[in-house]
Amino acid sequence: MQFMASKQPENSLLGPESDSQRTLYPYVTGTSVVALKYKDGILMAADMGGSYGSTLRYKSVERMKPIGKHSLLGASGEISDFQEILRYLDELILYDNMWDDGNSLGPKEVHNYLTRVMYNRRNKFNPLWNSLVLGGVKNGQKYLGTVSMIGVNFEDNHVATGFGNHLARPILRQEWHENLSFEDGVRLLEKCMRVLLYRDRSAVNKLQ
Amino acid sequence: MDLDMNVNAPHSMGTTIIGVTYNGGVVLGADSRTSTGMYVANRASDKITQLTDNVYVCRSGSAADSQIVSDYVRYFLHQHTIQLGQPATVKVAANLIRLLSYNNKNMLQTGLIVGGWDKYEGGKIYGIPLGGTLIEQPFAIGGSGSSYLYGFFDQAWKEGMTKEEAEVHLF
Repeated sequence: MQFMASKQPENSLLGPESDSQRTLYPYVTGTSVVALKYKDGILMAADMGGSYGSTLRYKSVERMKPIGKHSLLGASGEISDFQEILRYLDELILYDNMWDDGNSLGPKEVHNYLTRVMYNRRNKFNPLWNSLVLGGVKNGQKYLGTVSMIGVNFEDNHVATGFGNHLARPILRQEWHENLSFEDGVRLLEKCMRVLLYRDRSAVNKLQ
Repeated sequence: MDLDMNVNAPHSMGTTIIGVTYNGGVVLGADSRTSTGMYVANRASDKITQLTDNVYVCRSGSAADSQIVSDYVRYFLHQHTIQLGQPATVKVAANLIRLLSYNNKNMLQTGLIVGGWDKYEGGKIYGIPLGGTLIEQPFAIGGSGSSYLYGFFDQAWKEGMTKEEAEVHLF
């Protein structure tokens, strides 16, 4: 249901392009997401804050959602764009289930899909203002990847978005090792989130 | 929210809107002032608009934008109710508003609070700020006047209030 009232914004110098959406500004944003691989899978943490500019307006925003049977998606950035991404993924998973062929989309596939979506939107100068973290386990294989709003994607043993990149990743680089136990992984994530709470203005102390 | 209304002074509402859930439903409240820059254009405006028998929306931001959005949604909800054969749910109303807000986010400047009651989920409040985020909340405040209320609500709100308690808080 697309309703584009074709009104010329008065301060636009764009001419005939002014109908299409151009660079957007994020309104309600979420802050960092941190994730790491441990012995049996993936651990991910995000706080539940939604900032409106500099004010912390919403304190119960869910920024992580399970996708299909195998993956978990966490997002920072504009929450409305994240909700839209969830809708796209719902559709994707639905179609996958309708095949009813016993196979289901794993984290790598979902990550690839998201990369394409983000990159294509960026090419049209209409980005989804999010940095995404996608993690999951399929058939015992662990996968952890990230996509930024301009389409940069990579996978690694530990990823973070936003402030987490600067504050959490150094901690993770030093203290991460293969075969972390669940407790150790949780402790490590807690350490990262605590640092973020200290130093990130938009963090709240309610975690998901 | 942008407060530089002096240049063109479009009809904007310097608004405070509140929605609160309680045991058995929701209470919605709004002030009644519409200002164009410094002048009060309408001191008796009705910022709570009906969408269906059981769903209302509090409007804030640009008066024109919020009116047109609620008009469209009322139209869609009417058709949806006919098709469905029963009253629309609050979630559907909120999602329609979200769709319009999100897909036209560059052109609209309106923050809305949708509140209502349906037989499946009872009383619900959904906040839809600028940008088109949909967020379900036990209570919601909006409008430029709401900044003063964040502290009050953080302190005074609690779960499971009765209708009288909720109304007292609104005033």
